[in-house]
Amino acid sequence: MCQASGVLSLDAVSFSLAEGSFCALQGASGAGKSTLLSLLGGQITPTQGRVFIDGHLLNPNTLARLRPQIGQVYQDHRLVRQASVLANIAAGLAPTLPLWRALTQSFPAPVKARAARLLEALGLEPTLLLRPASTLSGGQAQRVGIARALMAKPRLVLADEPVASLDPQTARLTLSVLADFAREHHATVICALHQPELVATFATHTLNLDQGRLVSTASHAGIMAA
Amino acid sequence: MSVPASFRPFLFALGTVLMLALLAFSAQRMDLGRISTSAANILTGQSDNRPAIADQFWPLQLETREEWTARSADTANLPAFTHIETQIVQERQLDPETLRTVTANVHRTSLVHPFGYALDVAAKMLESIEIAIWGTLLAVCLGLPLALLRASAIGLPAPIRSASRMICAALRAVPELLVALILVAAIGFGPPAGILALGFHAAGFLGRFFADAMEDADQKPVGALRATGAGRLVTFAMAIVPQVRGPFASSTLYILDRNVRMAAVIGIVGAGGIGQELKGRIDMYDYGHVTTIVIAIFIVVLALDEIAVRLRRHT
Repeated sequence: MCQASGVLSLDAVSFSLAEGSFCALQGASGAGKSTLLSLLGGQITPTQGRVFIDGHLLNPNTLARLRPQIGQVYQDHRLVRQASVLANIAAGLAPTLPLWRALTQSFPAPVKARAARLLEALGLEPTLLLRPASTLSGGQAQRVGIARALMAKPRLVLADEPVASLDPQTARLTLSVLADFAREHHATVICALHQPELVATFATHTLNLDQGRLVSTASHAGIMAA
Repeated sequence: MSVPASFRPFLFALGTVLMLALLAFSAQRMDLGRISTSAANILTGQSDNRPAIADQFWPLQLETREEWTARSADTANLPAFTHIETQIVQERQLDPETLRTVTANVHRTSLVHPFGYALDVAAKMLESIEIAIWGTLLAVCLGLPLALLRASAIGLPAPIRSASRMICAALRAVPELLVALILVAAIGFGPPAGILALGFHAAGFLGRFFADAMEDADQKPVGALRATGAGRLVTFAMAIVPQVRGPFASSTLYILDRNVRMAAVIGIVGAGGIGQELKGRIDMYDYGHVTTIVIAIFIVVLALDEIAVRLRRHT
């Protein structure tokens, strides 16, 4: 359901993924993983080639409509440090929030409940919701960033090394949350991931990039079933 | 233009000599010599052509007196904290028979309010603080929209943004004292002129400070918020507002601090508050009163400083 092809920093990258799949993006630093994720998220527009999400062409005109369908997890978290954890997670629902709620940072009960559930699933205490994001550790901030991306139940989740600052056990838990999300909501997760054992456990597909080229793809649907 | 390296010390020496010559010329024009002679006169209490005023500043004036006649009120029923004092003062009178002025000892009874003038000064000081608070409110109300107009996070067209920047610069460029002078002429003596003068000038500062705070904010969350599909205003509210709340509060506190000090000054041109009282007392050579006022200003500024430091710790 996702197709991408491009040139320059990315060349001859063409693939499609079915909904519900968990795709691991592999490759050395500078191979173009982040560029590919930015391309899919609409942060950069391809000079050549096209991206389709759910059959819709992603371009500057359709970007505004497609954005709520895409949840993004950043390597550097990109949280508002001065705002509460709750406000940071609720930011995932920003397009649906009225301005006064955004200004006063008062969120409806269902939003709070969902944020608490997501935090708990990611192995964090719901009491964390009221703390300012500046007090979080790197691993906590990363999981808050993931909760923000999943908040709006997107069709596509783009995660740039979402477990980089997590210990192996927490990394496992976090990836299983992403994988469960993909299965339950028929969403697609594309995730830059380095650790081979995690890829082996969670990925239904892998894409290997090398110097901007797609060198191999693989499907391991069997792993998930096992 | 390049100068040979061997030539540079010579140029430097020439420049220094020229600068010193200019300063010496200017010192003559500024009558700098008087500073040292005046200082000596004040310290020794001597003066060549004007009375030394150093002694007159002390003691400071705290009380007020009103003339007391037996008719005025019941002696047993004085207002609280007051007492009656009778002084013998020397008065020059016209002797009706000889038609000459004579010096006579006169008993003068007066009702003394021991802290009457201190209370008057406190009331005037409060007026100055009120002027400063209203001026700060006005500055926030004008400065915030000006800052929002030029903020890149809001993203208005370039002409509007530079217009806002120019208005801020213009407001900052005109000193409060000048604005107050003009406004006193336009709308009359008293606090309204002071409030407007402080408000306009400080709005230029706050417009700048608020805009700088928004530009200094971390832009990464802005990108993250936009990526969720949120509109500009909601993105601004969720990504920028939490970041600038602290800087906004501390620059507003700074402006309030500054306005309290300036409110005391602009009173001198008639814009209400303690400055107006100060100017009046200086004009009447009531230097004891002046000392009281200066001490009052000193206490308020010190207290304000302390409060500002404590409040900033919370922002």
